[in-house]
Amino acid sequence: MSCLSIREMQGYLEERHLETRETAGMRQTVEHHLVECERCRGAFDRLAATNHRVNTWLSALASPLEEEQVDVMGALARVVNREPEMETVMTDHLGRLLVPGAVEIPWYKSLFENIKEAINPPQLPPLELTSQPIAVKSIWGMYERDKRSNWMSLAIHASVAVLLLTVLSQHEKIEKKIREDLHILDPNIKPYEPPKELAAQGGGGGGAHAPTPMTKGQLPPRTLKQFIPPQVVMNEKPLLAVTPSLVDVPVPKVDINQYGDPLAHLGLPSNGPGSGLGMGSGSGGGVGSGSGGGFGPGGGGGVGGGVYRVGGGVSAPSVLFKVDPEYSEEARKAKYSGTVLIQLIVDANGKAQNIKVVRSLGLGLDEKAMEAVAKWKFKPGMKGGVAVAVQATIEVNFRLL
Amino acid sequence: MSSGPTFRARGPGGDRSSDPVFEALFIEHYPRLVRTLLRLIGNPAQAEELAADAFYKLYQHRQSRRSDENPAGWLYRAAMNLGFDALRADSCRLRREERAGRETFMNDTLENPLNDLLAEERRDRVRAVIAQLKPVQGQVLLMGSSGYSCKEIAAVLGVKPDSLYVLIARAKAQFEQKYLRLYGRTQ
Repeated sequence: MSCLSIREMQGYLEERHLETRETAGMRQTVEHHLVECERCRGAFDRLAATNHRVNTWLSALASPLEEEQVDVMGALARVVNREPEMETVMTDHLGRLLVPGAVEIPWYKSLFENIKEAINPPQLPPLELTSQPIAVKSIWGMYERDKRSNWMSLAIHASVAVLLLTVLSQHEKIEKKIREDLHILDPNIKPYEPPKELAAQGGGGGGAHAPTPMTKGQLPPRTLKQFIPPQVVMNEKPLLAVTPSLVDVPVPKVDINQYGDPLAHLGLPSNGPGSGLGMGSGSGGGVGSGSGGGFGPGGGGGVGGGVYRVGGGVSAPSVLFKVDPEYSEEARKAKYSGTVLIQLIVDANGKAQNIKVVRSLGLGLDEKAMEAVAKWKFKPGMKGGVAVAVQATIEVNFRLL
Repeated sequence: MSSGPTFRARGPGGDRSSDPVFEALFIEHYPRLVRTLLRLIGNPAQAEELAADAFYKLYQHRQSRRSDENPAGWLYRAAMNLGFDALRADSCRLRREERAGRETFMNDTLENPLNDLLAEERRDRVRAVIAQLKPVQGQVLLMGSSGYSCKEIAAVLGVKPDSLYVLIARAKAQFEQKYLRLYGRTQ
């Protein structure tokens, strides 16, 4: 006995509740077979389970809305009275849009005609030109070019450009932006230049109280230490011959075989009207009107009329003792503050000489600064291990707390 | 559901109301067709509209031999196809809106709104699975669950009853497979 087919098992499941002759026979056959065939019983159980689950899910489709009455006659009337207007309209529109059959040529006919013309071109009658050229208007249309329009256009463009340049260039924000974008290289290269060696300045002088001025002659050689001052009349038989010299004096060369001032006038040999052992109208051991061992009207070594300045082997003086300046009453009431710049000469003894105000502050503060600086004690500037007078500049600050 | 009477040709004046066969067919099948479509669509107004469309199409094709042989079967197939098309074409938004409207109505009128809400959710799940089946399988299951006998279903589909059993078995197997794949064994 063959096994049950899916048709028989599904038919049994679907029709088992019907009481007809056909279903009764089918039901009996299936039930007998299921009792005997275990394999079919397993398949039937699986099919029955599927049927049960699906029927359960499908039964959920039933809703209370199905119990509502349906207006059959009203629906029938609506269906009966519905007119197929859409069909008519579509047909008419389509008929108008379609190309007439006489115009439409099938593609194969068109292809055949083209091939035929390519192989055997038709003999056409010669072309006879029956038309004559006609003068037409310019292609630029009804508006021809006018010179006035060109000039007006140029003027308008130029005025707009000028307006933009003038207005925008005076705008603060734009100017500021231009300045921000304009980078100018600072030409100050002093910080990068090598330091210049300051020339030593000084002076000299001397003389033998002679009634005539110092004669013209060559300067003695420069030395850092002077042992014998230059003299016109020399000891002809010295016990120890030493060449007279000046203290670090640049030499103005004069080709005369005697010592003297190279800038003086020619005349009789003379040491000058000054005092000391030098030459000139001064009082030191140098040459000139000064008081030092140098040359010139100054008071120290070297050439010139001033004191030494810092540099060139001359060290700067330093403060050993200082007194704070007092505040003037006027400046205190005015709550005035600032800096007084003072120039002075620190002599070889470390005292301040020749005190002058270079930058004034006023309200009595300049005098107070000079009084204080006059009481200061300095370590003098040194030149070759010798204390020399050095010009210095001091800033005196006045601040109110 | 047998092959039924044949329609008369439409008169020259287009008067369909004079066709008693059409009226009899309409009165006999319209309510049942509406309820069947209602199970598929879930919207009474849309179900009535689709049923009316199916009858109207029947009249449009009344000249064809196929509709004359089995007008009821043709009518049900056309109605089911319209229902499945509408079911697939319904956007999620529209269905949610309709569902929300129904839920609101039920909440206002019925005693246990939670059960109704769950039942409506189950209905939506079944409809979603039916929409994924082949049209023939969907028609078989829908008509079977709507109380149609196997003979009626076979007449509508134009198949023999033996073939219908195989069709039903395959349709149920497909439905179960798709349902379990979509929603698992929670139901």
